[in-house]
This record gives sequence, C-alpha cells and structure tokens, in this order.
Amino acid sequence: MKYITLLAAALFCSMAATAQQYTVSGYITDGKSAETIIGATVYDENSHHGTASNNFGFYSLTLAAGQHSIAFSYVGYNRQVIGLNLRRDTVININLSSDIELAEVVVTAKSRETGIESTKMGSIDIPVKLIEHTPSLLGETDVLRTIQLTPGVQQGVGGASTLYVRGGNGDENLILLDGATVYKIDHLFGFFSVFTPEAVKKVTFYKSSFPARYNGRTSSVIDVRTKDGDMNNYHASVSVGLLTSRFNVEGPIKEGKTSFNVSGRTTYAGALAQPFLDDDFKVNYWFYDINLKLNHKFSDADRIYFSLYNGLDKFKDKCHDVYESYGNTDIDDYGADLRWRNFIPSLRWNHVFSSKLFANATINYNHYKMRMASYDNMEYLNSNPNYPIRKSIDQTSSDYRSEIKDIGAIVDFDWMPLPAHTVKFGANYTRHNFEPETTSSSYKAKDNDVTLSDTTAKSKGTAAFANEISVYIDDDWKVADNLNLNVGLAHTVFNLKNKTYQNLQPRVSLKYNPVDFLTIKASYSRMTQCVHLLTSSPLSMPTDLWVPITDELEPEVANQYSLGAYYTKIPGWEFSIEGYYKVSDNVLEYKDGMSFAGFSGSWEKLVASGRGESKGLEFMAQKTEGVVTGLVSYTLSKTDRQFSRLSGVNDGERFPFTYDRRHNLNLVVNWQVNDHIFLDVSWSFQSGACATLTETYQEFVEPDNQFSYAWRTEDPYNRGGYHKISDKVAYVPGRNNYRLPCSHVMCAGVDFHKQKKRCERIFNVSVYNLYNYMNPTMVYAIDYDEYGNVGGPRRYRIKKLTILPLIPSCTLTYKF
Amino acid sequence: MKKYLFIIAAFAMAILPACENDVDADLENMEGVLCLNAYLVAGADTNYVHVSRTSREYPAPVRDAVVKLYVNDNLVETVTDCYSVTYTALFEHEVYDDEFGWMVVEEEETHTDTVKGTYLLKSKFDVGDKVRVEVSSGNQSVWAEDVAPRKIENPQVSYTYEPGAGILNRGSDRERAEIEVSFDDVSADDDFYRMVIYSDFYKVVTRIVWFDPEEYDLHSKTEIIEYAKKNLDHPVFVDVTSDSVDVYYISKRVSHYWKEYDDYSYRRCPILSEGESQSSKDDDDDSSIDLLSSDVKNTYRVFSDKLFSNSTALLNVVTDWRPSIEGDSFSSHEDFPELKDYVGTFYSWRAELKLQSISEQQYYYLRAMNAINSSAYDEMSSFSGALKVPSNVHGGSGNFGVSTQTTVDMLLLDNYHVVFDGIYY
Repeated sequence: MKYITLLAAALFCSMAATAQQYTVSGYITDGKSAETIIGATVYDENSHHGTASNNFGFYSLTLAAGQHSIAFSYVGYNRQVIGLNLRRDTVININLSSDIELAEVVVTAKSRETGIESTKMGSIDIPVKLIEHTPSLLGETDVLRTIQLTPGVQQGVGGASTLYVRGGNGDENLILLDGATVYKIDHLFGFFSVFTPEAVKKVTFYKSSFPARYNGRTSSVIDVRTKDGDMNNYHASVSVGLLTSRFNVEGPIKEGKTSFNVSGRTTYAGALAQPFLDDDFKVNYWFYDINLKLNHKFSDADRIYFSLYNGLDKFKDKCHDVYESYGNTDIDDYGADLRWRNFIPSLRWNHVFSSKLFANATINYNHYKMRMASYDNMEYLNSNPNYPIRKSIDQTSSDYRSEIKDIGAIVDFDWMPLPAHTVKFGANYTRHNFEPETTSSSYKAKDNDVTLSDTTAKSKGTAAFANEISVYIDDDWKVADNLNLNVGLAHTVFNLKNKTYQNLQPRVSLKYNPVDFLTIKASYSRMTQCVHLLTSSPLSMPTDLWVPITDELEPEVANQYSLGAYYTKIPGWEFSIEGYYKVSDNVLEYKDGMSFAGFSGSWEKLVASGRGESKGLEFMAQKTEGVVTGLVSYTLSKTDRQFSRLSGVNDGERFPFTYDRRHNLNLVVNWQVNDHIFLDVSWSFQSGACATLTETYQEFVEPDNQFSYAWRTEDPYNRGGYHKISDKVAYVPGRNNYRLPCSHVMCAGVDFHKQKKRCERIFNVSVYNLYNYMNPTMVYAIDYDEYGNVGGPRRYRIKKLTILPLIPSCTLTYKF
Repeated sequence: MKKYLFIIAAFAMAILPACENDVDADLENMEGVLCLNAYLVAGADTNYVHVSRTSREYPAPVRDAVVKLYVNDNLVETVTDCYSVTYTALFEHEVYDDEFGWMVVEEEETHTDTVKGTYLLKSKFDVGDKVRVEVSSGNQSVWAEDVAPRKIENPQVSYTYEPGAGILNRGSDRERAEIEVSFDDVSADDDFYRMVIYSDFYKVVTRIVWFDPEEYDLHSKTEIIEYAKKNLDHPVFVDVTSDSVDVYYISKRVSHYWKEYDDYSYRRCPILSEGESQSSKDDDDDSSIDLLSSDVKNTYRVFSDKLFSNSTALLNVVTDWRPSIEGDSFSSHEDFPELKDYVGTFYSWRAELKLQSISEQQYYYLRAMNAINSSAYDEMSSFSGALKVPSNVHGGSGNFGVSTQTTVDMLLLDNYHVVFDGIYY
C-alpha cells in the first residue's frame, strides 16, 4: 500500500506542476495489411519525449502545446516523421511502410533495438525475421530455439525447446499466447514447439525486470502475439518439410473492418516410421496445431479479437500375440492410447476511453489434458475335452489422466497522464482447476463365461481448485532527459481450499544515459510462482505434471538483482553486458529415489522445496544493419540448489543445478547474398551440464529372507553355509555428481527465393550439427567384468547417447 | 514404469538417428561410506542390523562395528560381534575309495557360521517405542531412528482353494489360490503397510516296494500293511536316498517353498498396485511391448492407505503358481487294495501371511527400490540419470525401519491324494 501511495503522490505532484498539454494518440499499423505494430517507437524530436505502441498497436504521447516533430519508427519499416502544431488532443493513426516512396515522410536510419530503449532491462524483442532466419532442426523455425541463442538462456537437451533462464527450471517461464498461459509448449519431447512460425507477429522476452502485469512465474516471460490477419488482401503460404507441413491463410472478411488469420501444422512422422515396424506391433504418433484469429474493428475506439489455439498429440500402439502349445491357445491383445491436448480460446476487447487511457479486457479459457489408457485382454483356450475349464479370460485395463482447466479474466489499462509518465495498471483473475493423476484400473477374470473377478479401483490425485488474483500498477517515469525510472508493484493472492497465500512483488528499474550512446540500467524484481511442473526427465514428457502449491508447499519466490550497460556508438551495432544475482526460495525437486516412474498419486509427498541460487554475467553484440547481420552472445553463470537435511533431497548438501553450465557461447550470422539467396549459420558452444551417475555400490538387504542356507562343499568358490541374502545397489554420493563433456553444434541453412508468376517459392536446405559432433544428449554409467568373468576385475564406463547427429533437411514453401 | 515413455523416445530416435559412444570417466576413488541397513520388527525376539561399506565392486561387510540399540533414548544393548549361527547339516567332502577312487560322500556335521557384517539384537521393543541404532566403525559412525508404528489388529483372512478350481496358468494344470485379506485402517493419518505371503507346497510320495520273498528276507505283506496304515495318516518322512532294499515303502517329502514375488499375485489387486496398471508381461519377456503398463513391479509389496484411508482395506491377491499336481508312476497299489488310500502322492500347501505396518520412510525406500530393481530402471536412468537411493541414515547411507507385524497361517491344501492315472504330463 505504501508503494501505491508514493506512486500516486508522485503522479499528482507531476500533474499539478504541468502546463497546458495535449495528447497525440492512435494506432500504428502496417501500411499494406493494416496489421497493428507492437512496440513501434513514437518520439518527439523537439521535446525528446517518446513512447512505444502497446501490445495492440496503440500509442499515446502527451506533449506541451505547440510545434512538434513526431517520429514513428519500427525495425524493418521506414521511419515517418510528422510535423504538427499541437493545440488539442489529436488522433493520428499511422501506417508504416517498408515502401520508401511516400512523399510526406522523411526516411532516415533504422530504429535501434527496442529493448535497449526500454527502461526495463533483460527484455528483448525477438524479431520475426531472426526467428525465420535462425537455422534449425529439420528446417522447423522455432520461437523458443531462437530465444535459446540469447544470453542467460540455457537449453536442456540439445535440439529441444525447453528454456532454462538464469538458473530457473523449465517450468519457471511464463509463456503467453495472446495473453493466455500455455502449459504444454512443445511436441515430440520438445523438439517442436507449439508456436506455428507463420502465425507469430511479435515475441518479447523478459528475464530480469519484469513488467508488473506479468505474474506467476519466476524466471522469464515470453509474450507471443499472433498476427491479426490482413485487413485488405488475402495471403496464403504452404510449407512442406521432412516431418511436418504447415499452412497459413489470412485476409479480410470485411475489408478494413474484419480479418482472419488461420494457420496449422501437422506431422507425418508416424506414417514415415510404419515401414520399419513389426506387423504384430502397430504404433503411430501424430500431432497438429491450429491457430485461429479473428479481429473486428468497430471503430477507432473499439476492437475485438478472438484467438484460438488447439493442439493435439496422439500416440497409439496395438499388439496381437497368439501362442499355441499342446493344443492350447493363448491370445493376447494389448495396446495403449496416449494423447495430450492444449485448447486455448480467448476473447479480447480493446477500448480507447480517451487519448490518454487505453483498456484491454480479456476472458480466456485454458484446458490442458493428458490421458493415457491401456488394455490387456488375454484369452486361454484349452483343447483338452476332459479339462474342466475350456476357456479363461483375463482382462486388465487402466486409465490415467491429468488435467488443468483455467478460466480467467484480465483487464489492463494503459494510462498516459503526463509526458513523463506511462502508467499501466490492471487486474487478473484466474480460477484454476487442477486434476492431477486421476487413475482407474480394472481387472476381470472369467472361466467358462463364469465371472470370477470383476474389480475396479479408482484413485484421484489431490485435485485442487485455486483462485489466483493479481492486481498491479507500474509507472514508467522519465525523471530527466537521461534518467528513467520504472516502479511497479503487483499483489498476488493465491487461494486454496484451506489456505491463502498473499505475495507483494515490488519491481524497480532504473535507466541512465550518461551519454547518448551509453545506457546503464539496474533493476530489482521479485516474482512468485504458485504452479509447478514436476518432471523427472530431461526430455519433455506428456506426463510431466502441472501441480499447484499446497498447504505445505509454499509459493516459490525469486528475488533478482541486475545491473547492465549498453553501448550503441558504432552504427548498426549494439553491445550489452548484464550481470545478475537471483535467489529462489521454495523451488521444487523430487526427493531422493522418487520420480514419476514407479509412483502414482500423492505427488506432493514425493517432492520437497528448497533454495536455488544463480549468478551470472551476460554479454551480447548484435549487428542489425547491412547484408550481413547477426549476434554473438556469451554467458558466464553458476547455479546451484540446497535443501534442508530433513527434506530428503541430497542429504541437505548443496548441489549444482542440472543445467549449470559455466560457459555458453552462441553465434548467429545471417548473410543476404543477393535478392534470392539467404545464408544463415549458427554455432553454439556450452560447457558441460551435470548428470547424476553411480559411483560405487552399497548394500541392499531384502526385507524378507535375510538369510539363507546353502549346501556346504569344499569348493573354495562355493563354500555354502549360512549366509546373508543381499544385493548391491547404486550409491550416488550426491546429485549431479558428474560434469558432462562440453557440447557444440553448428547449423546452417540456405533459403533460395524465387518469384513466380502468382507466388513466391522458397526452398530451404538446412543441416543440423554440420560437422556431426557427438554431443551428450544423455549419459549413463555401466560397469562390467573386464574379462567377462563373474567376480573378476570390474571396469567402469560412461556411455553417452547422441540423439541428434548430422541431420540434413529441406523445406519447400510457397507464398501466395 | 511407464515404459511407453521410453518407447516414444525410441520412436523419436527412430526418426532422429541416435548414436551411442563412450565418454572418459573421471570419478574419484572415494573412501567407502558406512552403511546401516535394518528392518526391525517390534515384539520380535531377534532383530538384525547389517553394516557394510560402499565399494566400487561389491559392498564390503563390516566386521568390527559397534552397534548400539537405544529404545526411547535409553541404551539397552551393545553388540560388537557379528551374528553367529550353529547348525547341523550335510557336508559334502571327497574321500578316496580303493575300489571307486575319489568320490563325494555326505556326512552330517555341526557348523558355526559367522554372517559377516550382520549383528544380532536380542532386546525387544514395543509399539510406539522410539528405536535408535548407532553404529561406529573405525573413524566413521552413523545413526538412524524410527518409531514402531501401530499394529494391524484382527485382520480377516479368507481363502478358498481346491485343485482344478483355482486360477489357471494358461490352460495347464498349474493354479493359483485366491486369498482375501481385510483389515481396518483406524487412523485418518497417512499409514503405510506391507503384505507378504510365504508358501510351502510339498508332497509326500508313498510307494509299495514288493520283492520276491524267495530272494530276500522280507517282512510279511501283513506287516507292511499294518505299518503303512499306522504311519501314513501322518506321513512319515523317510530318506529317499537310501538304496537299501529292505525298505518296504518310501515316503518322500518334496518341498517347494517360495515368497510371493510373482507380479501376477498382486497386479490384480488395486490396493497393492496402488491404482496403477501392471504389466502382464514377465520382466524378461522382450518379445512384446506393453506400453502403458507399469514395468516397476511392487516387488516389496508396500502400499499406502490412500485408497482406504480411515476405512476397511480389502486386498484380493492370489498366490504364485503352485507346481503341477500329478501322480507317481511307481506308486502302485494293485497288490495292496487295502492300501489304496495310503499309496500315491499326498500334496499339502501351507502359507503364511505377514501383514506389516511400516513407517513412511520405509515405504518410500522400498518403493524406490521397486523402481531401482526393476527392468525399467536401466532405461529410465539412461534418460534421467541415476536415482539417489533415499536414506534415513545420518552420517552414511542405508535404510532403517521399524515395523509391527501380524502373522496369519493358512492351510490351503491338506494331504490331497493323487493316484497315478497312467498318463505322463
């Protein structure tokens, strides 16, 4: 409350001291498609005040009455400068164009990366062009893999999409698709993300000073906005790749008023695998994504958007075995069906209350569901007529489900009361319904059609309803020409059946420009997280379980301190260096010996909460202009975890985080060879992550039959007698006790563009892991008798599995 | 468990070609860590503590340990010697015979064996007692403690078994017996249990051996009948190994003793499988793949009360396959019609059911061991790394648990008489 009072007082004083002022506002759109542009810069060259268009392309800039020269710019578009004598509130809708022939505009240099301009640090706008031109696995351009090339981000398994940002777990990233949280972000173990590249308009990535409106995760925010659809013309594209094909269609429903954008993707990986499978063993895998967006412009003041994402993964197997012996026949039919699905519709309404107040109201629904079912029907037929039982049936089946249903409402306001202030405030309510681990298993037995047994057992995991309410406010305050301050505060209430957690999350960012080309930023952010993903594999599994905090497991709280400097003196180049220190309390880990495998239900008993610490230094250089562009990023970091002795995690000893990689270097080069050929190369180097390996063996004594008597002999190797029955079991002194070898991978891709009569053809050839380096995707230890003799000397060997060696691919795309 | 995950991964790898290579291992040759393992039973006259050290090859038993038992913080026993057991048994040894050369002969001998690394505790403790064991060896010392949980009172056990009416083994005559167990979970707290069945299936084969009275000095037929009638009501176990011809009948006991570790015996019980689908495939059956079923068997038969908290637990289990029941082709009674009820093969099947109440830490330890000792673990650890075995032993490693136990004896089959029907199975 104190923060809000201070903020209001500061605003009031500023307003009271202000002379006659008017506001310029409007939407910034693409000149051809009328697609709104997010993050375009609006800058008054006279007063040096500026702002940026919000997530819906709306801007508002309050200036003193008088003559102004207002510049509108955005990366990839021509800059427009409009001169006006401001005497009243004015609406100017701007159509930016890449065409330089507009008479009334002045074309100057391209814009700087908006992340540097922002008061906030650790925020990067990921240009769609960069996403399209980042060489990738199987030619699948991918939002998340592009983000992995930025500093401070570690990838998990090579080639997969999971992000580990500044020492955070993979579940600590708030991934928003048009404002709605996406729980399951990938297909096929994370090798494909759910974001269809053709549907993406804008991606903003935050990793340190988070805007106050973002809550619920502690490590990063990835805000993905999809295209609204061209208001004026129809477009389509079709891509055919090795494993997937995609399409995108957009156009007006009512020209200038209503548009649509629909895109989809599917895979035929399962079909390709069929020829290699056994006749008695049928297995198939399939996924699809559909993105739909409709938008209607009622007026300059009112717009409505409907977005829908629907994605499904399906895995199925079916087996039929027949076994015959002595006239008896055993028939075994068994199979499984595994599927997981994201269904996320949302409806948004934008309303411009005044030139200074913009509102966005959203209602959304989010349903993530995973189901696996299996059956095993066995039939025994006895041909012996004298045998009393001629036919026996033995049937088992099981069903395992986990679901999350979220329904939420969000209201966000952008208020620009003064030239020096941009205030954002709003509220967010989500009702979560978690239903993890609902299981059902049944057994039926019949002899000669007489039922011997018919049992069904159902078990429901700890289902939970939770109400999550957040209110927030932040003010971006231009204190002086070279000093900006952003102060924000969010208050989150997470209400469970028996307990309510409340968390205040202050966030402060400071930007100081001692000289024009040098920016220094500092920030502090506090984030909390009330839902977690339990995962026991480095690969992204459908069974990874989203669960809420409980009465015993408190929300995770992360405090992050960052300091950075940004240098832009060399034209076309941007350099940045950032350091951070982050402490996360109540991070979750499986207890020793626990994992998803071998356990079902009672997940809250299998995990414990502890503390994570991460610190690092990040460097990035970007070349944004010219025929050759690209980036170099380097991260030096250290991350570890520590739990209490009683927690059951690593005996209370500190241990390195699995993805604690000391060094991480990325290089991306994009070369436009000519108008038709684009060459893209990336190289990533990471020092080794950590793995838990067996070092020695400890004794395991059976709980029963602890002793045995064996026949005594004179054989010295088999004395027999009374002895203990025991076995050996792996002894792991500590988690992540082994440092993996380093990984590095080079990828390259070439796009050949050709303008055909009615369309443009793009043929992409790409190679993943160009020099075929055997990166350790996962490792495991084996020991063996050196000479194959029982009791002989034993050798210890570590094996590494490389999932992705050199993989060439090609993709053919037609754009209409 | 969830073998399908690895199958999907394998499927992914089929699409994305995978390679396997060696990496240089540079793990420190660390000093052996002192380990304490014990499953103590409240009320038992004897309990055992196992002490060992970790090793690169095989865990080394510790013979010089000092084991101290505390009950409710009072030192009640100190043990420094490993457990010794004296027993009498047959001992094979080679002797030289002038006629046959070297030959193996058996002699009954009495031996005393010391079980290295095992220490015997004789002090008793009761339900609700806090039990602590401290172990020291060299410069290392470890300790662990647990509280003896509440005992299961008055379990209801019912069983029905009749040869030919049990559960068939795929059309053969091997069968399982069904056992139903119920007991009350009297607490709203989380409770943890184990249930183990020991089976002892044995047969007594009785044959009449009739020799030509002109060649041998035999007892009379009447004497044989009288002797058989007198003794076969309660089968007498006569050593079958004797080759002497003056034995008129041979009564042989053949035992088949096992603990119910078979998967099938619990997978049909939702409580023992904790609601998870269990694979119908044997661990070593690689011929087919059951994707969704669990490959982690509940080998140690632990279960929690999550499906019956504060109510009645009803467990429906079956035994492992009993061996075939068949007649003995040499058990002819044609010359002794009066002995037809006494000649043949007599089968008996005794079982002992142990219901244990265990602590939470022991439950999770044994569940982890279920996973680690499963066929799925190798695949799983390849993906996820090795699992660190949970330990409640301070200063070292191992597992320490105190349980209470209720035992129920069952006689599933009592002297079931089978006469050879002339068919060899």
